[in-house]
Amino acid sequence: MFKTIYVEEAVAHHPRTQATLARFSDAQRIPCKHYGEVFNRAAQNFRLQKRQPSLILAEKRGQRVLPTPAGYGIGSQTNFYFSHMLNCLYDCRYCFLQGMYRSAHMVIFINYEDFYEAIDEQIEQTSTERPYFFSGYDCDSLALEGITDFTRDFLTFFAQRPHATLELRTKSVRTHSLLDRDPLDNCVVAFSLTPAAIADVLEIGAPPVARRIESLGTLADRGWPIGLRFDPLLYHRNWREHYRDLFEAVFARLRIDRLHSVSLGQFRLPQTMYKRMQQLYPDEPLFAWGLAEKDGQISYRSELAESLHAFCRDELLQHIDPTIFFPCPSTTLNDGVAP
Amino acid sequence: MLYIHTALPAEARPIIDHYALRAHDASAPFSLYTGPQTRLVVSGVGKTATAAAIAYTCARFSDQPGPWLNVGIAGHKTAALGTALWVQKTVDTATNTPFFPALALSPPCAGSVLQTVDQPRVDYLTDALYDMEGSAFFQTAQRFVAAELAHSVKIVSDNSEAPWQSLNRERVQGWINDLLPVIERMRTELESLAAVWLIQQANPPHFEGTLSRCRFSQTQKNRLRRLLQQWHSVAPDMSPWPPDHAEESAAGLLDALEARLGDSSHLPY
Repeated sequence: MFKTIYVEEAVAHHPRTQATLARFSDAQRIPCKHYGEVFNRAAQNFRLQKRQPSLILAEKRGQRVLPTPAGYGIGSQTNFYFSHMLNCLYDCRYCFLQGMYRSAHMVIFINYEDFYEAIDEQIEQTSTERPYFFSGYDCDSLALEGITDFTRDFLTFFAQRPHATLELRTKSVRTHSLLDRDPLDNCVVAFSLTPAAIADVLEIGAPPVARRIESLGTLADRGWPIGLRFDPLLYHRNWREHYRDLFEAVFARLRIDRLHSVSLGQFRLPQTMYKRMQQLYPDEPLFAWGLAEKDGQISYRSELAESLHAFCRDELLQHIDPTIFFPCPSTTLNDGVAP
Repeated sequence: MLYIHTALPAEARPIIDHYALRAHDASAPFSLYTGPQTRLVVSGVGKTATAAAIAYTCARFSDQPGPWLNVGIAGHKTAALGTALWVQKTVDTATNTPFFPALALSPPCAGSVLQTVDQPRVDYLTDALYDMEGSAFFQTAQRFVAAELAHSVKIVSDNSEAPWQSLNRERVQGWINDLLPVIERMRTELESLAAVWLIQQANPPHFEGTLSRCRFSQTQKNRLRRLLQQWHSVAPDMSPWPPDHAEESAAGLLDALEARLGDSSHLPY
């Protein structure tokens, strides 16, 4: 899988580093002082690196847990995110990571204990409300579980902190680390879903949508709280029919009493990221049609965004209680607030 | 088109013979050889000569950019003579600056750090390759191509048991000959990557033709390039300009193209 592994000298002897290296005994190992020497350097090309990404084992320094941007949340006003990884196994054409980084190598920050400490600090400072901690912002929370043991370790940590909630965001069906243990009420397993017709084209390397639906159904049956993330909404031919079919397939399989939250998000990118992505994939129709710039963000033109959002919202609200519906902020919907 | 850089004529000779390259231009400041799929430049020894040779070659063939491969002999403290090693990291010993080549291919053979020195030395301080060109090769080549398209592969020519003073042309040519299969493997992967990179660099269809219609500012050229790329991605088989279009100014052309691009008939997927 990985033919080359860069290892920060400071973490070379860490047990997680050693365990990871043991899994890839044939890979060439290249020591470095800081992952930034290898990752995201000038003149690097994300699309080229994505063809043969390397693994980088590093230590996360500085701020490890950050507040989410305003408006993002699934029921709490106190929301944080953290990234134990940078970059993703999958290659979704709409993903902002390809515009954010010049490098497609996968960075794993192996100092989980420092993340635990930073999370505990935030929990201590948040006495009045249940804080939420989102993983999977800069990566897929589960896709590299076989290498990272992320959920195994972090679920053990969150099991002892029932007043805080962890969200795992994923497209992966590698759920055995969850199925092998008792469910946690304070861990939301949130699946990103797109109609199969477009996922087949744009979510390269990700499991088919039908398998994701089966996985989330199985997890719900076992008692895990489930999140549904229809983000980004993509305007395409027959989108009404495709989104309706998707919602029906999900709710036909999902035990609704285990549904924690549903969110909708517009296709949106900062303009600088959009430009970089369009340069990487100049022949990609997704970046060519129906988009407009507003307040430095690229998103669908207002009338398209409105119709897409309104249709999906109305369809979803036939299946779910409005109290668990959380649309993401948008620059193209009614004053930035989705109804 | 693969571009190969060597410092010495003896390093170049087996490659010239293998790819049946021909001398390109006797008046050029560097020895240039060319073939249907390969060009080679011999820079002479040292960082300055290397930087100049690569910059010259890139400028001379700017209409045919391609990946770069540095091939040459190098010293190593412990590795056996004749060992092929691709460069994982270079350190310019004059500044102690590290540089990691950007990797998007499978390592073609075992790897090593490369120390680029200003003078030949026999002390082999660290367990690394030693040459006099590597750091300059990378710094220069990646100004012309994506970082993933510049790599270096070396063959160990001297070590602490067998110092460089005992080298001769025949031995160097023999080692480079042994390196040819590694070069071929790297060539295959580099050319595959370069094909993607060239798509990113290419102007879209109708770009030059549209520029010839009227005067575009640089900002308008950039916008035209982007709009034509988008047009080509949603309507690859259609001309962006209908037969009856009457726009004559650059601004008019751009606005008309943007409006046509938004037509619902071009909705993708």
